[in-house]
Amino acid sequence: MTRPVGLLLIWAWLMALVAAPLTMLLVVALAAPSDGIPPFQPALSLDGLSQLADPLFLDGLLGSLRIAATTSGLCLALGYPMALGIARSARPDLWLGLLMVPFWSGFLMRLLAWGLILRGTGWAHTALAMQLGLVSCYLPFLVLPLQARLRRADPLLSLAAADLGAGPWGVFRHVTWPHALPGVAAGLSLVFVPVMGEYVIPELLGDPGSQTFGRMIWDAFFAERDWPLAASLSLALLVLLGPAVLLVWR
Amino acid sequence: MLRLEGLAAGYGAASTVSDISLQVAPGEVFCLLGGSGSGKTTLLRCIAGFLPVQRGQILLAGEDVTRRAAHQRDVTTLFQSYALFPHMNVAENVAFGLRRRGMRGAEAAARVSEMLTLVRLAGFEGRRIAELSGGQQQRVALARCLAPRPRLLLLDEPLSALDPELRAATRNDLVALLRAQGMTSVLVTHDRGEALAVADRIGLLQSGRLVQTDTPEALFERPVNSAVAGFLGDVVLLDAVVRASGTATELQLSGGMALAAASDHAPGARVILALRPERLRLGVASGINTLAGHVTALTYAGASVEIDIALPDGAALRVVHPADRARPVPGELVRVGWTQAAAMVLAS
Repeated sequence: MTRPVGLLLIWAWLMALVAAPLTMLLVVALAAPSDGIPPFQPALSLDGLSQLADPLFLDGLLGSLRIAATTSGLCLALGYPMALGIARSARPDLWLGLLMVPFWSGFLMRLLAWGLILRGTGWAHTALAMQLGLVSCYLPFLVLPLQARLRRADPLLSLAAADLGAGPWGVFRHVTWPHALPGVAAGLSLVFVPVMGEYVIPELLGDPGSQTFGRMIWDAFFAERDWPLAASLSLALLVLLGPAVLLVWR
Repeated sequence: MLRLEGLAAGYGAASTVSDISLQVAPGEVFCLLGGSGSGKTTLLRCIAGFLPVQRGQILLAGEDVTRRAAHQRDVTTLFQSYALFPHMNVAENVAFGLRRRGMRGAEAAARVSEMLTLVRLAGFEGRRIAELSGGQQQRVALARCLAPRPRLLLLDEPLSALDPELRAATRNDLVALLRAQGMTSVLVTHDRGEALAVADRIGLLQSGRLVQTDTPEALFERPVNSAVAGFLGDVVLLDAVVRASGTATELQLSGGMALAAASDHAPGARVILALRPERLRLGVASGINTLAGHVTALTYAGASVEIDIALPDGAALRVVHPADRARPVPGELVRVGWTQAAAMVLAS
């Protein structure tokens, strides 16, 4: 009884929070802009989608890709040793809990605090400050699935690899890393995908002049009030990231 | 091929095994036999290089490898749970040790198929590990160990993960293969039957010490103490005192009965007379090596019946009696006899 109800709930959730908004996004993307409220008129217009060809948006996309790649890389470099430490410790749940402590305070409060801390240093509103904010916010999302994976590693396999002549690097390359890979992929997609669309952190901590895809969507919605363009941008991001995520999860 | 000298090792400051000295000759199958906690696995981990040694030396083909890391020793291990790499197929598993030694391409592929043929798994190259049965996994693990042609093969309870009905056949295959390859092997087991059947020599470990190292037969027939005698098979122990020494030692049991046995203990020494229930016979014509007692219990075991007998002084005997012969009833007075060679006289 509980299972069908639970699955039904998931369907309702998906319909209300994924399918419905997605349909609305598609409708708006195909609408014609107008000055009224709401600022579009239902139509079958390609005005919004055709604007995607503007090289400005490609720049924004590349900028976001770079930021997401950097954040993912930094999170992995910091998160892998952390996840390994947690997985090998005698009290992994304690360490995992400690890593989650910053999440007890609000997301915005943490970002504003970073802003205050950096204000006097000359690093406020720089790419560095933004990176700092992104890594501090997203690191646990990488560590969480990765440590779960590493905890299931069989230490005997590492011994067997060494026994057959693999040095420490060989053990890592041929045994530890292949086993960790699904955890790494899950962690990276939990960092990379949201950072691609991230708006708040670049806005609060980043260089005001730097363009990210998230900021462009925001500007199209609220500064230019060109909802068909904004919806088209959002759809473009989904179309780009969707297949990539599916590929990673397989 | 392998020599251990005064080896001590353990986890933390305490030693799990100490004072271990032994030699394994080239091509020999050496068994480390012991119960749980005897230190046999600890010793194996030291030889493999997984556990640092506290004292003593490990020499492999005359070379001191005591401080050498596991991957720099020419030793491979057949793990109890096989430890096959689940993300690699059969051929990749078998080739792993070859690649680490720089062997690639056609040469490696040829060695892999040679090894798989050896373990009767030719054609299994592309299989996933999860698709294999337990017995097949064991053979892949063996092929993986043998492929780099190591100087020494370590086997950690290689049969214990198999179904009992598969175990005897696999054991015979394994030993035949090790002998055909002339592979110097150290096999760890807690199973005395396995050790007696496969080993050239057995080292018996008890509480971290090597108590006796001998051929299977010598270990079974001439154990150094009653603990060894008991570990290798069912045994009846009777306290006795040596009356007269020589080729036919005369022993006197606590009940006053006199017996003959071969022993070099001095007259007056307190000893233990150890008898294997399988070597005792019921109703043998009276002689010096007979005892009389009352049957207390019979236990049917298929091919045989185990008969428990109480001696007048309260000591207990047990006789393994063929099930197809007439057997006594509980309470009956019976005589138990044995040949002089069947009696083992051990230090008390």
